[in-house]
Amino acid sequence: MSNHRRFLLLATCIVGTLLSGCAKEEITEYTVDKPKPPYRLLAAMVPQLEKTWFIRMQGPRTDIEQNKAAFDTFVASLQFDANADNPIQWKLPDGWVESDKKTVGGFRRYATLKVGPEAESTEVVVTSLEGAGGSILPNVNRYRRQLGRPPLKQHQLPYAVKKQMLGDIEITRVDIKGKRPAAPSALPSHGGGPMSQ
Amino acid sequence: MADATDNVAKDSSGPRKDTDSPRPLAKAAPNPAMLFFQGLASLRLTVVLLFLGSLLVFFGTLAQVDQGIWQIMSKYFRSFIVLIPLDIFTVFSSRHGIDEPIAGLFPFPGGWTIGFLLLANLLAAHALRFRLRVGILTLHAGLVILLLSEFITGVFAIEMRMDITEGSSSNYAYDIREAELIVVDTSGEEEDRVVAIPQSKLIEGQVIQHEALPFDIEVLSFFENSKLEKITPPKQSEATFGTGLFYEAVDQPVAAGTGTDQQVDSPAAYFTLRQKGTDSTIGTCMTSCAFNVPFRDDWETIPQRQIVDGKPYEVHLRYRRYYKPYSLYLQDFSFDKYPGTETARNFSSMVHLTDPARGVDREVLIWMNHPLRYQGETFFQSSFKPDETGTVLQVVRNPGWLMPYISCTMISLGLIIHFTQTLSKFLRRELAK
Repeated sequence: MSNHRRFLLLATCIVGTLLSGCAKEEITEYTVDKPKPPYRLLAAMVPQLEKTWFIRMQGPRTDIEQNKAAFDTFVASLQFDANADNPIQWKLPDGWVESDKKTVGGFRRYATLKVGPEAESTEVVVTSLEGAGGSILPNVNRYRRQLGRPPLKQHQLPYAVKKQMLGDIEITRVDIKGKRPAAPSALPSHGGGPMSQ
Repeated sequence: MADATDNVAKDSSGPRKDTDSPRPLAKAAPNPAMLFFQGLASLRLTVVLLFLGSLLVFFGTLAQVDQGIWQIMSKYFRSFIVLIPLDIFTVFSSRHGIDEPIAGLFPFPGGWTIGFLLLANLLAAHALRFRLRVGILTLHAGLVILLLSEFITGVFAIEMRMDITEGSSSNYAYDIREAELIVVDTSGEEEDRVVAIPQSKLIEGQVIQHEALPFDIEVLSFFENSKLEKITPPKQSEATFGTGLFYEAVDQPVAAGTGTDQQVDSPAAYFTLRQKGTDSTIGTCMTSCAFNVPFRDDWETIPQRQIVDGKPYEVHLRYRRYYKPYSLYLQDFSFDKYPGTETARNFSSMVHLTDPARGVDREVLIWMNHPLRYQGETFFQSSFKPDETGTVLQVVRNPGWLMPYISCTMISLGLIIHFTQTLSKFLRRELAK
């Protein structure tokens, strides 16, 4: 092969390499799996009897998905009576049992319910806070922190919660997805203090 | 006495005889191709190109006062022609109290032009002048590979980041030097359908139309870098839905290469969505890459969403993503400090690599100077989340990564062979005397 042809062959390979990488960028289309964070928290905040009642269920995402319908039914069954021995009453879904656990990590609970008979079943926790301790934003941010999510600002809150009617009462529903929860965080500091029955 | 002219006269009148003196040859016309080839192979061209290369490095260094390193790489060194603003010389004039900007610019050969000509010069010189000697051949082959490696790196290499929080996994990496606009159909139960529009198509005033898009998109404005400011009354938002209702994007200068804070550019843009093929407006939104930075997901709760033909679509600007057929799950991030100090000693990420298509399911420890190499990509331990619960990996895809090592080895070997041959020839000559 002559010197000229040898040179031209090499030069062509190099130019070809250059040009092959200079393709115009185009619009592309593809599918991606929806993100599946491992943990999920459902909560309902009910302002009644001069307190805010918190009904919360959290656990592995798949467990929560299986029990979400039962949780919604449970929340819809809540009734309040200031004069009764138990100011808040409910109808337990099939398979749920009430535990005798009233204090966890120094925090008192009104009730602890289990969605199955085993000790490691997912729990539904009922608590209450008085006064400003029951405000929506600080409590939503407390839940978000537990699942490793950053806190919200006030103007973001309407997009993070849903309003729902429970009879005549407007309640707030929360649905948060995140990672394995950290240790329970302190309750909001605005008045209230530790919950009371 | 007869001379050559007599012979020439006799030649013109009759047939030549063998006893006649030889006819002087007529001078051949120069071959243009050969002249070009000789010029291309000349040593003078080598010297000129090396000088131009030095100047380019000097100009690129000055330009980094106001522009980021990746912009300079792209404009000056990975281009054929660069228009150099005279403003880069204000760094000298300002020392003499002259602070006014210098208007104007001048063209200069870019890095690829100089590199390509150097390569052509070397190949032509070899074809024309050099004899086949092992030492020189090896040395110059190493140089050719070195020049080629820069072309291949410039054209094919991608540098990305992958951020993973402990206890979660990631199957994509993103390029902080480039943005993309995505339109996401979120109606599916298990999957989202994404249409991705590269940054090169987000030109102010352009209307983007594509069969995969549910609407046309008019680019109202695009900022290569921006900051978000809260909109306070009586100022009104340009956006009609999404986070732009509360925040506006303000154009900012791109991050400078000499900046001490080493900030990453945060592109933002305003778009108007229109019914396909019409001027009928669906809505106007502002979206920023700041909304989609991993470890910061508090923007998501203000949806950038519109319902079109009964389906919800979200519109986001984000750093360009490259999805992988495999995923990395971060089991544990570890940040070790020297005892009694806050000085970092080591940080490492224990990840679980899962690739269902290849049946890969294993743990890997990635730590400083010990990357993971998988499927043509290299994962380096780069940084970490401020609260130490997440890792930041630098992901590099460079098909030419081995070429500089091969090149350096060949150049070294070629030099050793050539000098050994020259030395032995010299010694033989001296001994023969």
